[in-house]
Amino acid sequence: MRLKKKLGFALLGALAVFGLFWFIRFYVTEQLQTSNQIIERFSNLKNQSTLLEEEVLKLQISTFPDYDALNQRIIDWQQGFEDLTQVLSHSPQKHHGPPALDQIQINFNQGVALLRSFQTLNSTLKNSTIYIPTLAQDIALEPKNGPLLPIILFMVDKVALANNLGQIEELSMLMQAVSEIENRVQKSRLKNDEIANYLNHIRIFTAQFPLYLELNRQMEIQNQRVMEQLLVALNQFRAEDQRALARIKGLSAVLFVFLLLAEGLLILLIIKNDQAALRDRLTGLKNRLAFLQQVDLFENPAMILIDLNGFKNVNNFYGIQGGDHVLKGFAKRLRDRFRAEAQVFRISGDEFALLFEEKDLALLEQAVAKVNALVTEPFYYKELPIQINLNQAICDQKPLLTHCNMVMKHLKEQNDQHFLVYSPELGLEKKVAKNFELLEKLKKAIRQDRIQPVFQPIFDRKTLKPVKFECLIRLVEEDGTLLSPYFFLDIAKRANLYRRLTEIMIEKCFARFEKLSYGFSINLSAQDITDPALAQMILGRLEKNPELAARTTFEILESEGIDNFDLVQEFISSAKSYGAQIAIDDFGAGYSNFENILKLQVDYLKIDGSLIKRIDEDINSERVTRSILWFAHEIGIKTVVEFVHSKPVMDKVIELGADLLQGFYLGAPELEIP
Amino acid sequence: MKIKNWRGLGKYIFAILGFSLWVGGLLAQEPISPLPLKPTYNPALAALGQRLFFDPILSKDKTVSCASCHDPAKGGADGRERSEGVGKVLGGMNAPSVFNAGFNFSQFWNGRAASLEEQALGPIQNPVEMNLALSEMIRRLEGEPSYQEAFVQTFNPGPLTPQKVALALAEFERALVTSNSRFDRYLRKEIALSEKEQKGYRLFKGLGCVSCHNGRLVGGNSYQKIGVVNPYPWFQGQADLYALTQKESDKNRFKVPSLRMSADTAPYFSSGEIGTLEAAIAAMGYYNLGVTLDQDQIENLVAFIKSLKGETPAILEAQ
Repeated sequence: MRLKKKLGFALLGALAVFGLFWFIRFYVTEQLQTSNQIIERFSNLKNQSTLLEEEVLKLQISTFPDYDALNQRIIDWQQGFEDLTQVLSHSPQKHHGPPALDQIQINFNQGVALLRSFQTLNSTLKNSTIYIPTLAQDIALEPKNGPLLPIILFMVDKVALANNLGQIEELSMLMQAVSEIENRVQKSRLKNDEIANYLNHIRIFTAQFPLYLELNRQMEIQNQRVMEQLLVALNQFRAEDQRALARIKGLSAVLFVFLLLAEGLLILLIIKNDQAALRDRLTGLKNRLAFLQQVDLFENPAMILIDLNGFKNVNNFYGIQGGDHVLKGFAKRLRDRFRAEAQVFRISGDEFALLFEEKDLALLEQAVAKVNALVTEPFYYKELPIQINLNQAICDQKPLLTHCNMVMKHLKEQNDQHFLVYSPELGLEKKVAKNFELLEKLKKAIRQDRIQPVFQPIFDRKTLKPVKFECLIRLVEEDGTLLSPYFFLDIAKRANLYRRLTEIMIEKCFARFEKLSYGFSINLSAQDITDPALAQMILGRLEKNPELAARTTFEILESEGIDNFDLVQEFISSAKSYGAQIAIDDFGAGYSNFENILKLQVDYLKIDGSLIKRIDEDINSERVTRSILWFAHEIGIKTVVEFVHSKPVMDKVIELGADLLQGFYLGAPELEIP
Repeated sequence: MKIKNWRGLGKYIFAILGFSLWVGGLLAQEPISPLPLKPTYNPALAALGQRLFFDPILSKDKTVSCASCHDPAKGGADGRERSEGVGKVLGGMNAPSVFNAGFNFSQFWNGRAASLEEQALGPIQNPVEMNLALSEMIRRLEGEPSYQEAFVQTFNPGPLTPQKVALALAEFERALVTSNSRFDRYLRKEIALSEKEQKGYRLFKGLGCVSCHNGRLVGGNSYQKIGVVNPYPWFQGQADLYALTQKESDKNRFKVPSLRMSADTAPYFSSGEIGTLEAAIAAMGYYNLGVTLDQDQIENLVAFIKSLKGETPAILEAQ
């Protein structure tokens, strides 16, 4: 639930960042597009203004005006202006107030009004300037006008100069020329319509031309004003654009910081997670993984592997919490003591390690003593003192942990010392190799059906005839020799093959005794019985063949101790209900418990061989055996004596009153039944 | 001579040179351009406009249509001094030709409408023209199923509006282009002008007429004053620019009429007081050039003006 919540938040965060990213992306694209479009239209409009100005210039200097182009330019400008207004009104910055476009439109409209006046005035002037030379020509063709001709032509020249070069100073000379001609015409009494008309047009030109120039100046100013305002508007827009870009930058910065934070958080999480992976939660020490990483970093490291001896019992007795308390306490003592000298690890449940950077055997041995000193004082859990013992494996040759594990195993097996330094001379590697060899051998034997039962006869004390057989497991080696389970049972348990062996024994023994009339017994361990599938299979076999079931005895190894008493009891009563009998094997060797025997309602007790071995010489063996036999008789349980290896032993146990006898003196285990 | 002292010989030569260049410039450029051979318009919309244009339903008493005063058979005008509206009321101005009206830089004599669309609804409502309220116009058109259908087909579905009527009428007018006149063909170098026409065109430029009558329409692209040299009588209430601006200088200032169809649109001038083309040319010569044109000149100018008349637009041929 917490994880889901965290993931939810992470997802939301990611969505937010993603959303922001898209928003910025969209915004930037929109912004740039609009911005480009606006600038483009601004420049188009400026261009239109220039074209309009050009057209006016063209009309000024051309003799024959054609206003179509000018009108088209006005329409084009207006269209450009509308395009600009439209895109500006859609721009994201419109809420910051559009540039003073209204003012530009007003100025342009005023400019258009000036253009209309210009057209009128221009036509009037052009009309006269076209007509003046035509008239001059007509006047020149009249011979009587000869004296006036130079002045007439002079005036044409002046008009042309004024018109083409915009020289207003020439106009006064024109006016002088007009009065000069008027004078002369009056003097010579020349009455001439053409001359009068000529003078009329000169007068019109002289009168209108200054107005024309003034109008042109005004148009220029007006156009300049529009252009300037366009520039101002463009700059204003650009400033807005800059501000918008700044906003985008701000947003991007926010996004950047966001991503940076997220990245930082992620790195922190990874580090924390990594550290967590390298640290033991309970004790806060570094764990096995950290050890493996660390050990690789040192060139010549050394280590001490510390095992809390019999820690399982602490857990069983004080509970998990008690056990944890001890582990924590020990870890603390270890850490406090070795803080300066070594790195401290918790390798597994009850295994700790000290890692030294440099090998120094003297130092290591001192350390062992220090570690031992750590547990002289007991740990207190709920004011109960808990005393623990340690095994320590010391090693300074790589691979450290592997070597230490071997040493530790060796220590536990030998159980006679509490610390040992690894050295190749211990031959631990050979042992390991041998174990592997054995495992291979076992697997191969199973594959090739070379797991076989052998049968040892069990004799009645009175008749001294075999009444039943105990089925014993053997591995038939490739050369035909028989290997005792002593050599392979342990490895079978470790390699999870034990169950398979029991199955094979059940199958083969049942098959063998189906054809015989003898009784027989099969060994079962507590592990077999508490395996539900195996127990079910065994009970199934009993149910199928009641006659055989009545001849079956299960020998349950008492020496192992029975952890799950209820399950064992359940199996025994089920087996007994099918007519099978139960024997307790190796009684008197280990955890012999008379109460359990009573509860389990077993049929036989098999007295452990260690009691019988020297019963003919050892009075204590005899006393214990006698009391067991007496107890069995009292509660009506039959007794089987193993290890009858000589005549004196046989005589002794018969004398003591054992019911059944078994041993090499009477009969060795054989592959065949006589 | 006193005058001789004013200028040296160099200046005199310069003047002659400048003058020659100027005249050279005169001959080089053509201030008139041909009309497009094929007008561009939306046929369906124009057809609807055509129907409306000829339909007296748009006048109050259903006696007058647009075509009553802008009759294609009469050069796009009505042949009257001043137009007769509903109830035989006389309007204030001589009806301008509807031909090529789309090329005018503004509409009406004083350009008070910027576009054909803007113009179209004016005469319909004008009390002395068709005198029909727009709401009544819409009511009438809606009452006519065939119009309803035509409008829905031409425009997207939606209410019938005066704007749609204006759009249709304007589109029809855009189709009324008199292309391929003799003069246009001369400009396109397809034919040569007759001697009279040539002389007329030279006069048209040399006298300065062209300074106002230029461009595609030979006019219709600027506002000019009538009576530049000799004053032209001004009438109170006429639709000159003064009516809009109240500026003294705008008195008798009108949009220059196109000469494209002038051969067919007698009588002339804004008041329609001049009965013939010859008289109109003579009057323009007097008022705006201060010249008395002789018979020969007038004949030549008439020949030129007649060469401007183009072919009947295709949309009318189809009718």
